[in-house]
Amino acid sequence: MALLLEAKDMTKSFGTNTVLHDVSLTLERGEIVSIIGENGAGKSTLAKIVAGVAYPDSGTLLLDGQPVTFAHPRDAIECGIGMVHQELNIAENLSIAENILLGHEYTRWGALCKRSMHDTARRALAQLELELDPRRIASTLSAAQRQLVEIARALAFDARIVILDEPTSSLSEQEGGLLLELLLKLKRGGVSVLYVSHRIPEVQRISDRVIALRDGRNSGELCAAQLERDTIIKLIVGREMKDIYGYTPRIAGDVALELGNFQASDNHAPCDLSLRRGEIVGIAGLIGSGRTEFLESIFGISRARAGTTRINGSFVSITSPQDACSVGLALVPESRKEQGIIASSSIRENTVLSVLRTLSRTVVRNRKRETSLAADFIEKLRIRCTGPEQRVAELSGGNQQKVVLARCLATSPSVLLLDEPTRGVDVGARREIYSILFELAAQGLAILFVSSELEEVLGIADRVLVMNAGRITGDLPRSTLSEHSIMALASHHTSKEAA
Amino acid sequence: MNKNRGLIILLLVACLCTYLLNDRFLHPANVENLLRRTALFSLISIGVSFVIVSGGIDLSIGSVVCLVGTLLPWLAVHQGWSWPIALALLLAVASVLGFLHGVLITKLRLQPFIVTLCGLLLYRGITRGLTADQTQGFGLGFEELRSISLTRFSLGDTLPVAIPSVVFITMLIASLATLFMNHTRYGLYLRALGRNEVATRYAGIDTDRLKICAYTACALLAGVGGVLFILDVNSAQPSDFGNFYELYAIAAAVLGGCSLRGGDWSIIGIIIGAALMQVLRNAIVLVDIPTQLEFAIIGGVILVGVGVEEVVRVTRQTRKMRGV
Repeated sequence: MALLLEAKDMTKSFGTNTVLHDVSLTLERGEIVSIIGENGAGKSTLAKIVAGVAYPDSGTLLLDGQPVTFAHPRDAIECGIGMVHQELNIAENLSIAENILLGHEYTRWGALCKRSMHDTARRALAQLELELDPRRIASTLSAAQRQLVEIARALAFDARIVILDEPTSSLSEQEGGLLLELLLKLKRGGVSVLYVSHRIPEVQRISDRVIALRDGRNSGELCAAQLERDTIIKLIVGREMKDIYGYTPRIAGDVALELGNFQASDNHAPCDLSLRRGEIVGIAGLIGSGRTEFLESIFGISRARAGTTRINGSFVSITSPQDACSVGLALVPESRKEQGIIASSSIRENTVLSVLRTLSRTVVRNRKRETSLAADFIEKLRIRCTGPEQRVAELSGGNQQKVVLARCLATSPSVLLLDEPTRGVDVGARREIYSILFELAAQGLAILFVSSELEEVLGIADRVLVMNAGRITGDLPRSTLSEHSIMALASHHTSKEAA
Repeated sequence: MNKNRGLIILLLVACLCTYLLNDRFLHPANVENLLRRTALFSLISIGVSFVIVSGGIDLSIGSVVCLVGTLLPWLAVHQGWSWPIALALLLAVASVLGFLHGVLITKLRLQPFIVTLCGLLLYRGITRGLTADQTQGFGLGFEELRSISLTRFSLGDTLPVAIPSVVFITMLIASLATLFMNHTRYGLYLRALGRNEVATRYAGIDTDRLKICAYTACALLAGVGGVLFILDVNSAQPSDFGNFYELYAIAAAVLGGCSLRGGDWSIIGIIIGAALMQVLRNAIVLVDIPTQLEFAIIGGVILVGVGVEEVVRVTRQTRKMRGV
């Protein structure tokens, strides 16, 4: 087989944060190569560089042995490279055909030539054995169908290489399985696939070769015969798995948060939940199972449909985040940039935002106390920065996450809610965040977190609640936890509409 | 101060050029007039800066100026009200209008542009209807009221210029605004909210109430501006009094570094921005440029000012990023 694509010594930084150091990659014709690694290892960035979405600071890209530079995704598409991004990139108000051909519409005299667009879209869908009407509006599709439409888009322009970035993260197990079958079929048709994932079973099933990244560097390469689970894990984390979590059992105290017949929204079933001081409880489930909405309604961001909330034994009514903060709840939200930090403000201003009222008795602020509080947290949470006045935008993802944590902890909450606590956080900082959470729990904080990373849930939770289509389908103590037990409860009876 | 260096240079250059082309620029009467106009426009600009810092916009300022400015003499002269009552009522009305803008924007989730655009049309229409489009003014009466604006404070023998009272009113309000914005927690909340509303709400802050307060303060200051403007000119036509003032106010704030993306605020910038626009308008008269070109010149200078500012900011930022 001839070498189709080769990336040599790719280096890329965002601001002060170098995400790729001299990373290399090869891909042959008709081969499926998986790129594996932890969150923040640089997998997505490498994939984006190959697809022309990101531009490397240095390094060369060879296609058929010829050096190429992609200044724009369109350049890559013209060379036969199509990419399916991690987040769904579907314009919901447009039809399937318009989505597939977005940016490449056929026109005659400036007017859209709908018939030939529909024909091309239908051919691309047929390659995936999908019988969807190309005129259908994307908002009527399920998450799985949307994902397939994205793959059809990547294939629509005679792609020789298809790049998929975590394509199964929004799919149920069955849907994911079908997707993998499809990739194997494409491979037999001569298409090369770059598959970015951290899900080991998927990688084992389809890969001809695996390239592992760790902290932005190549950490090893395995051929199909070597794909043992433990070997892969070792390449990903660089040490035994349990090391990065360092779980130690704790004794749980009194009940800190108690939900009675709590119904988060119309799409949720009523449930009871009790969370003790010193306990770390994880909520697992597929994307779209309603975990985030559940957490947000506890915190008062959306109003719960029904039910009671008790904090430390007394009933409280929470209809807004202000209410939640005042009764001792704090939330580290899912999306750091949009919901967590004020990027262009300083670490000090972010840290004190929720507690200004208590730092000064008058309306005039007390900057001395603000600075010393921020400095305290910088030390306690080991935030790497030049000082309390550094702008949060200049920090790495992990340190930004610690700033959000600092803001939450400054309120001395009795219950800490976290939504995807380590999304986009590098391995080193993740470890630190876990050890901080263990420390907090040992001091009696009750912690409830949502995570899509099964390894993380297995690694730090004392107890796991599994959510499936808005219903809590399982409450598993640590002794019964396994990837299998959680996935079985998470994807059982999943209706397509749930996503 | 550092942030406004470019703007200060632009202002000095504009002053110098105007003076070189016509030395009457520094005539005491002209300087006094410039001071007065700058103070008046700074006032409404400070108001709108609260809204801009929260990430919003208020297009109704000119019409609120018109409403308050023309109805004050209308009530006092034509309807025979006592002027303190008319004044208090109109300022209350202005505040209520701002409050309503805020409520519509936060609770009904209407867009600020639309809400205040409707305000712009409504308040001018109402004013023209009530006054039957008749020119309003105090004439020679109401001396106590007009003395608010007519009083001047001479600087003795050192300088021949007398400082108009509105300069002191604006200085007072500017100090209060600075105290609020830079030294109280609500100022920090407002800036945080302008930069990232969701994160601020998730931090447990009542962002809706803050926004409502910002729109209320904006409309109240527009109302105060309306009173001082009418006292200054003493004659107002409902059809054009205050026309485009919202745009002057917004332009001064933006020139002064209050990005329309929200979150940034500088009192010095706002005042210098307002001063620059008044110097430009003054220059057009003094240098014999056809007044028809006024808008073109102001528009061009704002564009250059904001454009240069942005280029400098981006270069500095990239250099800083590389340097660290």
